[in-house]
Amino acid sequence: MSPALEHYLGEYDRALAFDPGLARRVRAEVGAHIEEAIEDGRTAEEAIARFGRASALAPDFARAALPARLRATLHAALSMLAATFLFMRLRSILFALGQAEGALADLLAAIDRAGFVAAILFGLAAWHRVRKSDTARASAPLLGAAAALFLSVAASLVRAASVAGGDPLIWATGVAEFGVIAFFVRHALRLHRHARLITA
Amino acid sequence: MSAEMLKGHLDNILLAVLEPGAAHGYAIIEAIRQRTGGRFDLPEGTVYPALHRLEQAGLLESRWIEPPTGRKRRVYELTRSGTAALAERRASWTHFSGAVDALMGAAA
Repeated sequence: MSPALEHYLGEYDRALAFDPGLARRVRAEVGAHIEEAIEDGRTAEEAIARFGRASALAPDFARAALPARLRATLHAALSMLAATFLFMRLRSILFALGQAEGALADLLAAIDRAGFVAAILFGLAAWHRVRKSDTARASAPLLGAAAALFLSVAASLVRAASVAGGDPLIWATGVAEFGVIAFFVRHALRLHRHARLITA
Repeated sequence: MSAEMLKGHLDNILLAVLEPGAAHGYAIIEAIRQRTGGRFDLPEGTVYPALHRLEQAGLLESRWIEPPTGRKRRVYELTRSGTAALAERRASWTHFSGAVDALMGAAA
C-alpha cells in the first residue's frame, strides 16, 4: 500500500474512531476501491482525488450509520433501566427495605425513587431531542439519566446495607448495576462523538 | 449534470444499477458511467455512504466476498424491499418526468 493511500485511510480511522466497526469497514471498502483504481492505471494521488476528501466523506459515513448508533444507545438505555429496576426490586423484597424506619431511611428511599424518576425524565428529554434531529444535544440528558440512576442505585445500596449489613448479595447487585450504567455511559459518549462529527 | 443535482437522485440510481444483480462499489460506479455514456461522472466517494444508508434502510444487503484470485470486496444487492422500492420509485419517476417533459419540451 502506498504511503499516500495509508495516510488517506488513516484520516478515516481517526475521524471514525468512535465506532471501530464502522472505521474498519470504511477502511477496507475505500482501500479496495482505490487499489482497484490504481490497477486500472491511475496513480494513488489521482485515485484519492477522484474519491474525495476524507474530511467531507467521513461525516457522510457517520450519517449513514447514525440509525444503528441510536438503536444501540436505546437498547443500552433500556437495559440499564430494566436492570436497575429489577435489582432494586430484588433488594427491596429480599431485605424488606420498606419496613426500614427513621429519617435516614426515608431520605434514602426518597433519593432512590427521585433518581429513578429523574432518569426516566432525562431519557425522555434525550428522545425528544433525537426526534427533533438534534442528536448532538441528546448526550447531555443521556448522561444526566446515567447520573440520576447512579444516585438512585447508591441510595438503594446504602439503604440495603443499613438494614442487612454486609450481605454479599447487596454488593453483587450493586456491581452489576454500576456496570450496566458504565456500559450505557460508554454508548452515550460514543453517540456524542458520532453526532458531533455529523454536525461539525 | 451537476454533482448536486445528481445527489438528489443517487439512491434511485444505485437501486437501478443493482437491479441486474450484486455488485461491489467500484463496479457500480463504472456501471453508472457506462450506462450514462459518461454524463453521470459522480465523485466516487459519495457512492459508498449512499450504499451504507440504503443498507441501513433495508433496501440493500451486503457481504464480503473473496474470489480465489483477486481482492476481497464488499458486494451489495437488492433486498425484496429494495426491489419493491425500485418499482415504486420508477413509476413515480416516469410520472414526474413525463409531466416535466410536457412542460419543458413543449414549444411555445
